Amino acid sequence: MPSRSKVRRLTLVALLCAMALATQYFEALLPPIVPAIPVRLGLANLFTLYALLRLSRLDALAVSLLRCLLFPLLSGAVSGFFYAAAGSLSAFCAMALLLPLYACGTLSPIGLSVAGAFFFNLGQTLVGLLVTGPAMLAYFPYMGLLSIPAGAATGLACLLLIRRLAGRESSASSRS
Amino acid sequence: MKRGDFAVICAAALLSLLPLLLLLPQRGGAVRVAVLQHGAVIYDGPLSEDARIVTPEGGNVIEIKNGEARMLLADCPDGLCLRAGAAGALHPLVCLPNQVAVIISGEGGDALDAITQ
Repeated sequence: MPSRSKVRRLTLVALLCAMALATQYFEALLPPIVPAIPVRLGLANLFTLYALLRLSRLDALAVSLLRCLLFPLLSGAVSGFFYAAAGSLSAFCAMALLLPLYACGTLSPIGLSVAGAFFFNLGQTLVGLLVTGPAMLAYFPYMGLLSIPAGAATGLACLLLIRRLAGRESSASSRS
Repeated sequence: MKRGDFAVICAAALLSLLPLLLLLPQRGGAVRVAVLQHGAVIYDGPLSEDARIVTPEGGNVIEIKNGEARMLLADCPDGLCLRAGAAGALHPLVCLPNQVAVIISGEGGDALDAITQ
């Protein structure tokens, strides 16, 4: 019988993944901020970030990869998979590497999220370069600059979420 | 917001603009002009380089000067190519009777995608 904390962790990861999928699905129904440029608010990354900050790197990676795998199944947009997977992995690596800076107080979730968003677009652009050629590079300045407010908004949401849940999580864990 | 956040934002902004620095310097020498006759390329060079091309049959003389390619001499009956002016990315200079074409390619001044006349 797995320990209570392992079950709790598994449930949390599954829950975060489900919420991320739902968020991404609803966000996909909206048009992009700027037409023709594939940058969205990326609010679903909020949950990956939350997992990174409150659980472990591995849990965050799980949330991120599961979202990449399951979202095409959910929405039917399978062709975007490689771009999203590359972007998610790049974003995860960037955020995971910057995590020590968060731990020592130099960065807040906002900075982490901006870095994640920027690297997500970087990963997408690199895949785009391989598939389409150098033309994709022309999009990059717009995508990169747009990723800053998008990442900041998601990071802020994560920050607020953490503050809200901080009290409740500690009381929940003391009960189990 | 912490100190590191500003650093991340600035770094992201600078890196986003990096491709512009790489793409812009290319514009200068990238415009090329090619002269074809009967479908075969008889001259290919940058538009910035002055040249005078005489077709092997001697029927046309194309002059590339001051960043423009014009038809200097042509022995065709209609002489449309002589009056067409400079070749551009969207409108190649063509001498149909002699099957001569002057084609501009590469990054150029034309901001238009197509022209209808």
